[in-house]
Amino acid sequence: MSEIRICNFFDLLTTTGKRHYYQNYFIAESKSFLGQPYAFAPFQADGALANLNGDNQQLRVLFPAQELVIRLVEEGDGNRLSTLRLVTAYVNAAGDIQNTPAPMTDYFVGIGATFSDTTVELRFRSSMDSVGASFPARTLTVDNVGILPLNADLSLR
Amino acid sequence: MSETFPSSITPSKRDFTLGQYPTRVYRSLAGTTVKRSYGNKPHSYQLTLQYENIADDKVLEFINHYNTTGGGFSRFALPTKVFSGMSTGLTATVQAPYNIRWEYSSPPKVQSVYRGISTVSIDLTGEINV
Repeated sequence: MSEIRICNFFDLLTTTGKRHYYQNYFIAESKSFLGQPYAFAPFQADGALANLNGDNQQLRVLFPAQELVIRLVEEGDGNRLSTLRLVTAYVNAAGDIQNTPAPMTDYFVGIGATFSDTTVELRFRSSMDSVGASFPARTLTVDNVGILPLNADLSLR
Repeated sequence: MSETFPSSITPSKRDFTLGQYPTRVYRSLAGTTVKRSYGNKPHSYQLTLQYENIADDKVLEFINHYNTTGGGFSRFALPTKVFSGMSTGLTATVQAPYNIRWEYSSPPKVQSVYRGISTVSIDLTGEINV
């Protein structure tokens, strides 16, 4: 495939219980996807989606500093209590969402937002931690390693 | 103060360039390319207008319009007079492409020709208004 058209579908649930639906490919259009109309918003999403260790991966969704984005941040208590479902879908030349390859869905939780004079950055982390061999994560306690230092300099031998 | 583009005179010259689609190209070491599209509408239309040998009071209309739009900050629609001579179909396409509004891409240039007579050059960019 030498021509790629990708649309991100952004579904944000804020603490007010309201869902916000936006997509970033069909300019000035409302696109129906999975039974919901997604309005156009000029955002970009970048960051890691997953890795083998299942660590929390960080995702950044960058918006211009428009009123609607300020509302998204405020309704999510500074984007710390929002949850995001981000679907990445391929689009064909006619503008139809492709089923092959299937749209990819990822879930994130908000960890805050950053403002600049022209942009608002919503930051998220993947919603599940350490889905791997060491789950639940091991914890250093006085019972298993003795007296713990007060700073973070640990020497493991 | 009005933000309406001056419509009392027709331009002497007019150059129009279609907008570009938002794409990026990745070229591999082997020389093959993969293109990614980021949107389904073109942006950055270009329109250059020249008003030759017009009276200075008409020149002032363009300068006032440039200032009332914040010198390229606010966008505006173009009057049909700007496209005089074009067919109706072509005018409809060029005058108002999909969701496009015009803004100054550079300040108007005024060249004095004769006492009270000048030539004005105007460069406009058409951007998507969302």
